[in-house]
This record gives sequence, C-alpha cells and structure tokens, in this order.
Amino acid sequence: MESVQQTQIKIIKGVGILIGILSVLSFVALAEPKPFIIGLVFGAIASVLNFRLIFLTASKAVKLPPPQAQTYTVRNYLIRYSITGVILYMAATENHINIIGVVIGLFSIKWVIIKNEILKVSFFKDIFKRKEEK
Amino acid sequence: MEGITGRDLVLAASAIGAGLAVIAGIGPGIGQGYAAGKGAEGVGRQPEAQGEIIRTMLLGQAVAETTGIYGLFVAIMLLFANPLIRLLG
Repeated sequence: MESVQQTQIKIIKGVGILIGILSVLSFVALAEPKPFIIGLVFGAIASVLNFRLIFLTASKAVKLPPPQAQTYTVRNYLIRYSITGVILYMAATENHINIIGVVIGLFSIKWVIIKNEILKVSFFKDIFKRKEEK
Repeated sequence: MEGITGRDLVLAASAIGAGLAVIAGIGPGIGQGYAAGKGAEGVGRQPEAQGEIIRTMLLGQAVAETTGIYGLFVAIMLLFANPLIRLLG
C-alpha cells in the first residue's frame, strides 16, 4: 500500500498531465484557447492547494478527540469552500479567464482520483470472475 | 406588479436559485466532519493504521468536496455571469 506522501505526489502529477492534455486539445479545438488555458491552470493550482489543505486538515483531525475532529474539519471545509467561492467569483468577473476552464481545473483532481483509485485495470479484470477463482 | 419586467423576474428567480444551489455545500461539510470523527475514533482504536486512515480520508474528502463546488459554481454563474439575462436580449 502506498504512503500518503506517494499518493499525493501521484495525484498532483496526474493533475499536471491531465491539464497538459486538455491544454493541447484546446489549441486544436478552440479558436481562442488562451483564456481557457489560463482558466485551466488557475483552477488546477487552486484544486492542488485545496488538496494539500485537505491533507493538513485530515492529518491534524485524526489526532484530536472525535467531536473536536468533527468541528475542526467542518470549519476548515468552510474556509476552503470560501476560497473556492472567491476563485469562481474572480473567474466569473474577469474577462481574460474562462470560467469553464476554471471549473474543469477544479474538478480535475476528482477525475484523477477516480481514474487512479477506482477505475483500476484489476477491477475490470476481476469483474467477470467468480468468487472461487479470485 | 405592473412595474415588474421579465428581466426583474429573471433576476429575482436567479437570486432564489443561487441561494438554493448553495445548500449543496452543506452536505459535503457534514459528511467530511462525520468521516473525520470516525477517522479519529479509528486511529484511537488502532494507532498503527493512521497512515492508511489519513490516505482514505484524504481521497474521500477530495472527491466529496467537488460535489459542493457544483452548487457553488451554479450559484456564482446565476449571480455574476447569468446566461438567462442574455437570452432576454
């Protein structure tokens, strides 16, 4: 099993690769790719920083008593939510940042986690196997 | 009621819609708090599993957090970049 540090590095690398692929695709598909790419990078940086904040919150929360851990996590979630709100507000009001790009950048971390942790090749290999064969 | 135009109606409905959309942010907050509480209980019971518990919590919370962002995105679009206003002309 991977350590927390290895998992974080793998996911951040995955986000970088995904954003790179989407940037190249936007050059091909869009007439004016610059605002979209700025949005993608802006959203991806925000999501990676959010991910890091989640790690810091989780690693502190597990050392607290359960009721305190609960309130601490919710408080930090609300701070992160507000930061995301400010980022989306900036994207909506600024003309040189595409808000769709920002949203895709913010969601990129979710897609990378789903790809790395849930959609594993072994999952699809074993899906049609009987329990006795596994 | 006479002075109310279509634009005013759309703006009022957008403000109500934005308020309703932000409610989506409450769910992940409660869920993350509950998960953290259970994680702390788990670490108390089995301290050697701390790394694995943090890893699972980290991934779960990162996925849950994006669900709240959907609502926030809809709310901000309705308030600051409303596409419905453009449709009115």
